[in-house]
Order: sequence, then structure tokens, then C-alpha cells
Amino acid sequence: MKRFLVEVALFAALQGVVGIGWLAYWRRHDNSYLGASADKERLLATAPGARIVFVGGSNLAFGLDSEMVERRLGRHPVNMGVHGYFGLPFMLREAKVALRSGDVVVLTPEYEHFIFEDWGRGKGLLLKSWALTAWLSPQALRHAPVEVVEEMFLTRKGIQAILDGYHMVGDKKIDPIYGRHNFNRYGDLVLPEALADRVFSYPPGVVPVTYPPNLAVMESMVGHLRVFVAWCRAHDVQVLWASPPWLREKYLANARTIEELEAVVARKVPVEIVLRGREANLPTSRFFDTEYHLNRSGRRERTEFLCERLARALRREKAQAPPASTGGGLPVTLSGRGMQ
Amino acid sequence: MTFTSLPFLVFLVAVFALYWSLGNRWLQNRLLLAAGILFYGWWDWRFCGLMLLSGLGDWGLALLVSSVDRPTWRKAFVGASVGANLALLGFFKYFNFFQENLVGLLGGAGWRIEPWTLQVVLPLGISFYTFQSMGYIIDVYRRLVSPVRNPLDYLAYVAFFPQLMAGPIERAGNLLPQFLSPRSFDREAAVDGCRQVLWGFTKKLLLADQLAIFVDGAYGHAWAMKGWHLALATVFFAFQIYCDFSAYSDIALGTARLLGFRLMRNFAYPYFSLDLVEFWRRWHISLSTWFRDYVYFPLGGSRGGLFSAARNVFVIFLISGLWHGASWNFVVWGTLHGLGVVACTLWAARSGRAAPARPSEVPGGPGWLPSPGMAVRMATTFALVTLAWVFFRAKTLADAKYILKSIFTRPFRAQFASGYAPPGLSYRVLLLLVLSLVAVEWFQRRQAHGLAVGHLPRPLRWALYTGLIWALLLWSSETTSFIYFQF
Repeated sequence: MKRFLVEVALFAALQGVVGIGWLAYWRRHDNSYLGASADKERLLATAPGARIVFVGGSNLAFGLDSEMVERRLGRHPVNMGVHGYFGLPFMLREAKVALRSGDVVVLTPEYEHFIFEDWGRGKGLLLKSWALTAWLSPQALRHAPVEVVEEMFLTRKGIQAILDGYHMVGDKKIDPIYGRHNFNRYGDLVLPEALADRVFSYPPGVVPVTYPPNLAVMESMVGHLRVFVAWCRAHDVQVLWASPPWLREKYLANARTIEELEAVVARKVPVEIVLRGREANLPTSRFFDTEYHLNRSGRRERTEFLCERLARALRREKAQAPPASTGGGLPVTLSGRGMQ
Repeated sequence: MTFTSLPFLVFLVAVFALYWSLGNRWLQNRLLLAAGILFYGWWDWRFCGLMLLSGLGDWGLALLVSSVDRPTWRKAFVGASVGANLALLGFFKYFNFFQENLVGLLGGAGWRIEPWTLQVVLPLGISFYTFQSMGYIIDVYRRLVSPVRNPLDYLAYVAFFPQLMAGPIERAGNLLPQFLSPRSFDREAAVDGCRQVLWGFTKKLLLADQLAIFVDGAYGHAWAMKGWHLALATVFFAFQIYCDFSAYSDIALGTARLLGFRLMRNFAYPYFSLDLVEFWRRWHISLSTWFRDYVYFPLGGSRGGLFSAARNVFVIFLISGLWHGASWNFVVWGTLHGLGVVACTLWAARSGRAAPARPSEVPGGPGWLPSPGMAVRMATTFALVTLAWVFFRAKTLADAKYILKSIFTRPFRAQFASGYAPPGLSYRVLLLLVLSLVAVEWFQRRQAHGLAVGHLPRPLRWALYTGLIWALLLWSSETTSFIYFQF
């Protein structure tokens, strides 16, 4: 029996080594969209100079021309947008780790964060996404909500999702558009030339859904925003709010809810709203494959408009700021409140 | 709990560790009984009671059979046990089938009656454990085995989890003595058991489940399929059901060996058979031999001459068809095999041909390749078996007829063109997988299973196991239930 157990242990160790080797190889070569989360964390930690950091979901990944932002605003953009389903608290925590004094943060979360309690979880997609992220960029899990970590590691469904997630690593069948390698050095997803002008359309018979305002969820998310903004202020990081682009039909079906949301944000979060939903919505011809993902012309149009508003806000801020505030300074962890 | 699930692996490791740490037959049997109840109850705990009650009934009746000498009483007790088991099977498996047909028959004669509908759920494995129990009491009646005195030992035998859901249908003479004697850990057997389990997983997850996607797509949309798609799907089904069922048996045998038990072999490379008689000696051996011992011989076997032997064989296959399921499809499938086996028997008797090979003999002869004559006979047997599978796989007789018609009359066009092609892996990849299996099995046909590679150097063996494990982890699709669970 002893010999058998020793052999089993050795064989299991061999499988462990093979598994780790395989995973290491794929983490380097993997083209999964969600793997971009790790790349973006690295990008934020290493991006030089005076920075403007965009925090949100895939509306940013698919909807920002960072080169234009850099040209127009003279700041180095970092586009943190990957996957809205990860939730707003995750995005805020992820950004906070590598923000520096003098950074400007532009918050552009999708509206659903403020409407649904557990956006995406009902579709079973969230757990799957987390599981894949656990394999590709396990460090991202430290920003995950506690209940997600509990569900992943302490429930049968979660463990199954982790095992399924392992299957998805290195999956060659993924949509080539949703590829980690399609992100540029700023964190924008650059659409392949042949597909860049594709236009979104709803499937026949589908009409935009109207969501009534969910005040409880709004309050809870606004609470996260307040904490984040307070932290940023304490660390000399300026925060702005720009509503995401949304399909015009969808916006019109939900205008009341969006206005309510913006009113709550304006009332409770000390943040300047540079772009509102009624201005940020765009016609269908500007969208690529969902109500948030822009095609080439949509991306250009949105970025131009956003730059104009951001430039105005930054000029105002500069005019009001004391002369010592130059931006592009030391990491927060080193300078801390001492920068003030 | 199914073999190909994560809970089963955890369960097996826990049972293995606890089992060998007990080191006492008495305690080990109690643990196996508890494990069997947990394993079975994982699916639906309500039916545990049915299994245990049926087992207890047979245990008690077997004691009564052995305690009396008067043949009338002995017959009465064994009859009661067999009757009770058949009644259980009849109720859970055949009630709705017989009722529907009776209502149809009476309706045809002008008598309209309202059917009494029961939503009967078929308890998993009922066909297997009732047959195993019946075999036991008949063997006690025949004085081939002694009755078990302790009910818990007997229930541990009935509820032995490796073979509880889908066999092999064990013989009391083989398995019971193993429950009643002390066990010692045999490293070689355990290692080979692990290999056999891995081979089972490979066949189930890499082959059967992948083939199932194609087959289900083709049979589910037969009207949109070209004849050759359906022909290919039928060939793939032949391998799907083989890989599925033999995989279950391999995992069962391997798991049992880890616990120090040796179960009977259930498959012996059936697709290398030279005729249908040999096929049935190599396919689902535990069921074929069960029918031989407990139905064919009591009916008279071959004692009454060629005609009565042929009649008895035919009856066996008819019953075997019905055993598989309450549907006319299975009856037709059994009938076709019955006719085929009878024809082979008569032909062999007329031509003075030697008796078909036994499962222990090397199928297809000892050479590297079969002779041309053998290859033709193998291919013919495979083609006949595959044609019969159409009735087994199709949902209704009308579907089976439609599929056969499409295969033979519309090979290159569908009746309703829709551009639909069977889903899953491309047929070329599936063919490659199937041919790989055939090649491995051909070169391993002297061994008990496809992964019996104990003679290879360790680095090569471990590389092979590692390759298979990672192929399973990375390429297995969402697993489906074992086909034979429904029987």
C-alpha cells in the first residue's frame, strides 16, 4: 500500500507540474479577452507622466480612441475598460491600487451597475468570467467582491466553474474580435480593419427594454463611488464623471431612469459630471455589436465629444488649482497625503 | 452520482482511504453498504429504500429456500422471489408500455377504455440489481451457492457501488465469496485498476460524448439529413454506445479492483467478432451469460435438437430486447439479433464450422492483421450489428424506417433541404478518433482492456497517462449520462 501511495503522490505531483507549466505557457500566449484585465493593471502601474485614467467596462474598451485623447489633452491615457459584468466595486478597487497623485480619473460605468443588484449573475456568465480570470490573472481576484470569492471556492457551482474555466484557457474557438491581443498600448480594443465599420442591429422583434429606477441599488453603488472619490481627493487624484455612450433607442426608453441616476450622483457624490446620458447617446449606426460597443465612427465621434468636455473641465480645474499641483507625481503609496 | 463527475472522484478517494484503513472485512462490508447507499441516493434517495427492500426480500427468501428440502416449497420460495423482482421491473419499466398497447389493441377491437396514467419514474439500475438478485436466489435454489447469513453482507453485495447502476450483472458464485472473505491490498491490481478507470474515462469523455453530439444532431433532425450523414451517424452510434457502455464497465471493474474485488468481464472487443454468435459472446457478456444460464438452459437449451435450440435462442433475444426498454424498437432490435444468431447457428451446423471463439480467445486471430476472409467476416458482422442499432437509437419504429430508407435511397440528398449539418466536431475528426480507437483495441486485443500497458517502461507509461489525463481535462465536452442508465 505504501508503495502505491508514494506512486500516486509522485504521479499527482507530475500532473501538478504539467498543469502549472501549461497554465504558465497559456497565460503568456492566451488571447482570451478577460486576460486583458491583468494587462491593464500592469499598464496602470507602469504608465508614465501625467495620466488620465478611464474607469468603466467594455463601453470604454470598445469606445475610446486614446491616441486622440493624448493629442487633445496632453495627458497619457490609460483605458481600464474590460468587462462590465465584473461590477463597479471591482473596477474602483482595481484602479485604486495604482493611481498616483496628479492623475485624473474619468468614471464611465455602464448604467446597469446602478439598476441590477448582481448584474450578469443571473445569466451564469459572471461566475464563468471570474473563473477564467482566476486562471489567467489570479491577482485580479483580490479586487473581487467577497461573496464572489466565497461562491467560487466554497460552492459546488463555483468549483465547477473554476474547472470549466480551466477548459476555456487557451480556447482557440474564441471570437477573434474579443482577443486580448487586440488591445493597444493604451488599453483600447482596436477592431480588425475588415470589421471596424460593422453596424449593430437588434434581432428581429426585439425592442429596447425599459428599466425602472432601482433606488436601493443606486444608493448602494453611489456609496461605493463616494468612498472612492473621497479616497481620490485625499490622494490628490481628480475625479470626473462621463456617462457612457448608449444606443439612442435604449436611452430614450430609459431616459427617466438615467436622469434619476445622474441626479443622485450629482447630489451625493462630489464629482463633476462632464457628460450626461442625454448627450452621450448615439444613433444605431455608431454601434458595433451591442448597445455599448462602438464601431469605428462611433468611437471617433464619442472620443471627440468627450475630449472637448474633458478639456473644458481640466482647464477649469487648472484655473482653480493652487500652483503646486502639477500632476504626474510619485505613486500614492509613497507620497500619500503629503502631496497636498 | 455518475462516474464522470467531480463528486464521484472525491467520493472514491474518501471510500478508498477509509476502506483500507479499516482492515477488517466486517467493517469494510458495512462501509461498502453505506457507500452504495450514498452513491445511489445521490441520484434519488427515495429509491434507496426500494433497492434495499428488494435485496432484503431476496435475502430472506434465499434463506427459506435453503432451509427446506421439499421441492414444492423450494420452488414456491424461489418463484416468489423471481415473481417479486419481475413485478418490480414490470411496474417501473413496463407498466405504461403494456397499458398503452392494451388500450390500443382494445381500441382497435372497438372497446374504448380510459387509460390509467401513472407518472412512473424508472429507478436507475433496477434492471441490473433485480437480475443480480434473481441470479443469486436461483443459484441458491440450484445449490450452486450457499445463502448469506448476514443481511448486511448481502446488501453490501447488492449495493456494491461500482456495478450498481449499469453492471456488470454479477454472479453470486463470483462476487459473494469475495464479500465473505478477507481482502488484502494488491498493488498490481490497484495500479491496473487505475489504468482501466482512466481508459474508461477516455472512451466515455473523449469518444462517446463527442460522438453523441453528432449522433443526436443527426437523429434529431433526420428529415434534414442526407442519407450518408445518417449512415455515418449510425456507424458513430455503434461506437458511441460501445464506448459509453464499455467505459462504464471499465470504470466499474477498475474501481472494484482498487477495493480488492474482481468483477466479471463485460466486453471483449466485440467489434472484432467474426459472426453474430461471437458478437454476443463478447458484448455485454454478463447479460448474455445471465440469459444463457437462467433462461436458455431452463428452456431446454440445445437439448431438443437444432429447431428447439433455435427457438430458445430466438426467445432469449426477444426478452433481451424488451429488457433494454419498453418500446417496440427494442423488440425489433432483439428480434433482428435473434434471427441473425439463429441463422449463424444453423449455417454453422450445416457447414460443420467450428464453434465461435470464446471471449477469452484473441479476437480476429493471433496475427498482426486479420486474413482477408476474416476481415470480410468482421466487416459483415459489424455492418449487421450497426444496421440493427438504427432501431435501438431511433425514437420510434417510424423514425427507424425513415432513417433506413434515407440511407439506402437518398444517400446524397435530404428530404427537406435545410443546410443543417450535424453539430459538434467535424466527421473527419470523429472518424479519426474512431479509427484510433479501433487501432488501439486491435493491438491491445490480447489484453483485458485498452490501457493494459504494464509491460511498457515507466516513463513511457506515465507520459501516456499524463497525455490522456490532459486530453480529458482540455478536450472533453460537457459529459452526458451513460446510455445504459436508462435500462
